[in-house]
Amino acid sequence: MFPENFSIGLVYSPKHEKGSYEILRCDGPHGEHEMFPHHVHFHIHEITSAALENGLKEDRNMEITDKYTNFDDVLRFFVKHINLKSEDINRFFPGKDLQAELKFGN
Amino acid sequence: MNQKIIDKLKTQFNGRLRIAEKRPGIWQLYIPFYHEDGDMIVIFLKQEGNEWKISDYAMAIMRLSYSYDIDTENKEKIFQKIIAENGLKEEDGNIFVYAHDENLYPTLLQFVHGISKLTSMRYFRREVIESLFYEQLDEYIYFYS
Repeated sequence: MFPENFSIGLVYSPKHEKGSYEILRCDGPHGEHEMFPHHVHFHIHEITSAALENGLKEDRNMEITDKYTNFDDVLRFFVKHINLKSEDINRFFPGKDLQAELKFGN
Repeated sequence: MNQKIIDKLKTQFNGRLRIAEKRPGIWQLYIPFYHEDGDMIVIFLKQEGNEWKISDYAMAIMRLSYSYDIDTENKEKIFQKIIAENGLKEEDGNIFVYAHDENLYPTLLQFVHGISKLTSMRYFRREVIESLFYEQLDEYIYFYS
């Protein structure tokens, strides 16, 4: 696998409902997207409320981003974007110095 | 990559093909085949001797892992069956198939078809299977009662 073709995502598994929802996915420039033909970008898939209301578990919605360009950047962006608590950062990403970056991040 | 082959593929895909060098000697093909979320199916080409290795560099497995893990013997068996039945091979998560110049186009289609089936394994998720099971059970009970 090419290191730039990373993907980091957030899946929501409701307690009182079967299945799960792909809420957010931060991807590298792995290829084109239907919405942006002939271009390859770092991009974010984020489920919309419209998709959720239609019972979809994921969404075709996607936006191009310049908020990260490598895996370390995307991890910092991701933990900040989902508001991951400090204790959970330490729990899920042990050894990663993500909190210091969070204080000074965008 | 040989211009003659690029031109031939472009004609076969009715002009809807773009090729870019991903790494020295590794080419990414942009053909309008998409996953449900709008992402294009990832296809790489590498020449090995007089053959082309068409591969996905483990992108299908990564995509599948968003919603479905191949974490049991049965799932692995189904996964390997789909690979074999579509004439593909798998090594360390990389799905691939070999083609010669003359059958590159049909092999690319075969590859895309196989990848599409593999990523559809997410429909085997517990909640889908469970709902089908109860539906089939209802039908069975109705039929034999």
